[in-house]
Amino acid sequence: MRVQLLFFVRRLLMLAATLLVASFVIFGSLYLAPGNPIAVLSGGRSLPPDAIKILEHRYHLDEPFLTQYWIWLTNAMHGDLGISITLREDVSILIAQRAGSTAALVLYAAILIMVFGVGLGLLGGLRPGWIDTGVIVTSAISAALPAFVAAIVLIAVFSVGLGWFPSLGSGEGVLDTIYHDTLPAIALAASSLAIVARVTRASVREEFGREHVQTAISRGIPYPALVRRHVLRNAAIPITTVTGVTIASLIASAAIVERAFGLNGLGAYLVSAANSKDFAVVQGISLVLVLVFVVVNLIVDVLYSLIDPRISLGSRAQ
Amino acid sequence: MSEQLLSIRGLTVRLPVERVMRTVLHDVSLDISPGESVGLVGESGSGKTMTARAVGKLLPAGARVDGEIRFAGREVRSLDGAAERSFRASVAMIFQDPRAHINPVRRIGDFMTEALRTNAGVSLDAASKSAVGLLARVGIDDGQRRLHQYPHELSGGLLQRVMIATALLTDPRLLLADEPTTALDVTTQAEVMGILEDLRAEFGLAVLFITHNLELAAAVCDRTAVMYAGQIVEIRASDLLHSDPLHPYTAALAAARPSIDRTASRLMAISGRPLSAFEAPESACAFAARCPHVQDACRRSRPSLVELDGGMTRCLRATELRGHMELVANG
Amino acid sequence: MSTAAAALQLRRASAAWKALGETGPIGLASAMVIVIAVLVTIFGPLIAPSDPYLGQLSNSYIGPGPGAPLGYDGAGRDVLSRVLVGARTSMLGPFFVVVLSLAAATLLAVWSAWVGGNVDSVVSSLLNVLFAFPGILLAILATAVFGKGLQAATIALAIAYTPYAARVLRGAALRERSLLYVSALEVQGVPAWAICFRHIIPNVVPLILAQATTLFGYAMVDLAAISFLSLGVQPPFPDWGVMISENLSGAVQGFPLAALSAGLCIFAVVISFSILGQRLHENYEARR
Repeated sequence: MRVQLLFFVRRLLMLAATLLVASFVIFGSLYLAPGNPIAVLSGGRSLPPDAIKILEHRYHLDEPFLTQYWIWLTNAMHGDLGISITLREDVSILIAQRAGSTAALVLYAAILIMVFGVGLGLLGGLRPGWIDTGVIVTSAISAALPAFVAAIVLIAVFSVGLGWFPSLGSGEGVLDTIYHDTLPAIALAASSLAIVARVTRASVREEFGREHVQTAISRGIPYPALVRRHVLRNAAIPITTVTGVTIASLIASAAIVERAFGLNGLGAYLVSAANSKDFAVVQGISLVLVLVFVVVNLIVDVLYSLIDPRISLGSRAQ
Repeated sequence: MSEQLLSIRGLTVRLPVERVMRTVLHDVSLDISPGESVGLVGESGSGKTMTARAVGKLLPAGARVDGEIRFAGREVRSLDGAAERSFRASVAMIFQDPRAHINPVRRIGDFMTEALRTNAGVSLDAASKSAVGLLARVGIDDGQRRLHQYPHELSGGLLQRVMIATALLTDPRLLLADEPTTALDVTTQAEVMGILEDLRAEFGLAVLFITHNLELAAAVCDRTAVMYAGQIVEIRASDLLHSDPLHPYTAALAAARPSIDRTASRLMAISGRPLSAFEAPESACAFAARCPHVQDACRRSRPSLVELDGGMTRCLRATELRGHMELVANG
Repeated sequence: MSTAAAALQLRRASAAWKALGETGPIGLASAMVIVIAVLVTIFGPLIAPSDPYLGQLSNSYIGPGPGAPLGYDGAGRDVLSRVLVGARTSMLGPFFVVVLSLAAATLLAVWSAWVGGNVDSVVSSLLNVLFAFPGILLAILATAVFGKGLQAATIALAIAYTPYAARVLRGAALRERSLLYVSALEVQGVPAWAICFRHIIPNVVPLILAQATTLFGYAMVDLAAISFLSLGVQPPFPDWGVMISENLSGAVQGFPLAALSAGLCIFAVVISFSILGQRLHENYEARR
């Protein structure tokens, strides 16, 4: 138990360090951009002098770099992420308004990945023959479908062609949102689902061939219990890792799907902010996305340490 | 004559290797009486592990099996359902590398009691008590604590003892031991062999002891069978194996091992390399290419296993060569 | 290069060709797609039947017809010509991403594997931090900082991919370093950089190629996504990602052919590269 706690603490520290460095890079990019910070923050727009003064004061541009970073970071931890130059509102409020939509989409896609990705992988791994071949082919095809291509196909077939789902917009209320989010969630999940299915199938296959499964067979453990206790339980380790990593990277790909389907989420907002050079918004959303990524990885680590009693003080086997 | 516990007749096994059926066992015949310990000796690829797996119904998918394997009179392959579970309880198997053969993410207690709880419906408490009792018998005194540990917390020797104890939990009548001490260091080997011997006497177990070590088999088993290229080439009472072998291969094996009480200017080695079963010729003696006593008759047809002086041999010239098998032509 | 080394290279090359022949219809199809894609990249503008930038609005979204086998896009331009010309950026972008990231990854991996110790820990930790940035996110951030267009996105993606390739290559470099011939060379007094460049790196080249092939597919998807988001290649250039973005409204209205054509090109090239990459990886594993 102590070993597991140490492992957890060590991973936590590493992830905190990652977050720190990432935030430093996000903040520092202000100075990487060509032009002085005021020009970057204003996005090339010409501002009246008192607006410039407000910006200078708000961002403490007269202070040394590290102090600015520190102030920015502590503000961020309190929920103050600056002001949007285009909408003149607090970035944190703007993010909060849209976070729900993205969260719903990502959650929906995550569930699809877990259910169908793992499910298909299990099917292929446990039942050889044509089912397995079918799973492999489906995985290969969907792996090559980037989200925006999948979006086109889905819209063409299911929205315009069959009329089953709407193609654009978010919908009102829970059920309507689910209805509207279905095609986007599928587009988002498609390529990740393939990777999860492939790893699941490979792990299940590998575990089945392991010697300890032979031992269980030799003792007459019935097939269902055998698969549950000795194959799946062991294969769960790599499956959890890949599922977690895949879901964490969904967050960034959500931007594309939101754009394609006209959803008003964080991803779409990030892109339009980048397009309109609203720098504070870009920084704020980037920080939030990295934070979520780190948190998801932490959850995966916790799950991993619960499943595998062998982990040592190092990082988890990738 | 009491019924044989295990009776193997003409067992031939073929496996698909890269879509071609290859013979891995040919015409294996062997009997084991209740309480008897029989050694099965051979080099890698000789088919000894495959024989044990055939008996234990652990052959890989796609295997073709011909011949008979009877346990307590019943053909093993036709068992299923409750009869098969009862068979699995009666025939226990222990393996060479205990760490690979025990599930690393489950506790020792889980591993030991699983079969009892799942197949015999024994409660966790009762099964754990039995487990602790058997652990004590194999020399592990703090069994209660061990049950809560994970395999990676135990050494290889301890794990092998756990494996042996687990095998005995279902009250088996036959133990298939596939090189149980090969992966252990020498001191631990001796301890584990001692434990196996004691338990065998105490429980009246029959044992099929698989090893590549001829001396070890001869020392602990009543009878020893020698395999080469997927075939049994000799079965002999162990104490006669060295003094009066019935097959040149056995004699060569015995002679190849350097002995502490003799001085040898050169190590004896058998020329050529051991054949796997699927390389063995269809119509000649498998050992012909390497045999110092080979004659034309040996190359013309595949000899069958015949009785001789209470044992069995597959050498055509066994009767005439008895007594001077070790005089190898190429020293 | 000595004659023996040249002969060895020749034998390896012909063995590679033979292996390609043995891969069966799928492998062959993938190779063909890639060859076609490369040819189109080079000769695209020359073989396009019509001007990709000239369109008549009255032709908007009209389906396939004489002179336009893939129909017209929203602005009335010939889809086929646009696809052929757009191959340039769609293929060259990922190419540069792969070249940059693998160069960086190889250098970092070999150096860190060779020196070991603190340098190795620091480099590994830095790369671990990089893992927290999904490629797209870094690319969006880069375009916000440095302006739209392929340059910022390409460099950002190269940086984001480096840790993945570096991790794989570091493992291989560590294995090479522990082989006996390296110690033999060290004992002879051969300098470290020579051992790395003349022996270790050449031995992991098959792995580098395998990684490059696999990463090409990911880079193509990510770069097309950036162009799709209007942050990469700008219209009217017919980059495949841009084409999808432009013709999305057409798809919604029931005229998907324009967007699908570009999408199909991306799909075909990515799947071919991923199959090839898988074969190369298997090949490397088998020969180890």
